[in-house]
Amino acid sequence: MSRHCAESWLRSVAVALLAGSLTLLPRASIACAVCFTGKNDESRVAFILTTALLTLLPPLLIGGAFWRLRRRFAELDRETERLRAGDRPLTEAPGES
Amino acid sequence: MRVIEERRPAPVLPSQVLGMLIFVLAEIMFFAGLISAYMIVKAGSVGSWPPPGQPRLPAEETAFNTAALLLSGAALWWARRAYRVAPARAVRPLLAAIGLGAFFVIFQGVEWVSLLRQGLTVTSSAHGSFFYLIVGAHALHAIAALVILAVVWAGIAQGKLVRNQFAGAQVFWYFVVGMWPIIYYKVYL
Repeated sequence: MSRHCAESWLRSVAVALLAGSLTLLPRASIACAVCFTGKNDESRVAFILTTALLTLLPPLLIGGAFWRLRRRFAELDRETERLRAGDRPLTEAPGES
Repeated sequence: MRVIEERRPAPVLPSQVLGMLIFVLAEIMFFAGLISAYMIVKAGSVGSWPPPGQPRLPAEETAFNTAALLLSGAALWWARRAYRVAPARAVRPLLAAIGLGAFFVIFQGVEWVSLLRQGLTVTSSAHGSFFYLIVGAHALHAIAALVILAVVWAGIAQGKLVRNQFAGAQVFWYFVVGMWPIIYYKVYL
């Protein structure tokens, strides 16, 4: 192994160890998000519910938008096929004046 | 044989609607964050809620105001339908939607004055802080949406409405109308 390769390997190991040691920090700081309010079940339930809400809402919103767009693309494809077949003209997009 | 290239294909989603949808999605997360914080603080509070010495929110009167806002949303839906038939037909229902929306905002203002007199201020308690922050943020959105609806109304009345502007305004107002029952349920009840 050349000297350059050895240095590079040692540097990688040092970075990996440093990054790994960061995972120990939360334990040292006692990072408990509900410690200040978690005196009763009601606040724990509220924390879990709001965590679920804030976690699930973005993928639901973005997923819903993608789903709607995909449906609209499929709708337009069908309309184009009908138009090619000389059936009837394209319809307006939702919200189009 | 028909030449289909002559007809301009309908857009998948008009730019005005797409832009407004992106804005509305961001605003939904903004309100979700506010309501989540309110739920945590309310659940973690010691004793009763609202805190002692703080007035109870006027849930019954606000229910009436909520009905006015929902009616405004229905009037806008009606206006949009009429607009597709003939733009001039949308003028009256759109005016009704704006009027009901303005009533909602004014009623909220009157309610705020009453609550301030009773001692509920931004600094009086966490209850007051969250109330004015959440309801105030919604009121700001309602005022902005009303201004946009008024611009759309003027555009229709003068026959100068920009293509798809109505649809963008509609998305914004539906957001304001749809967000309010959630706020009412979580904050007032």
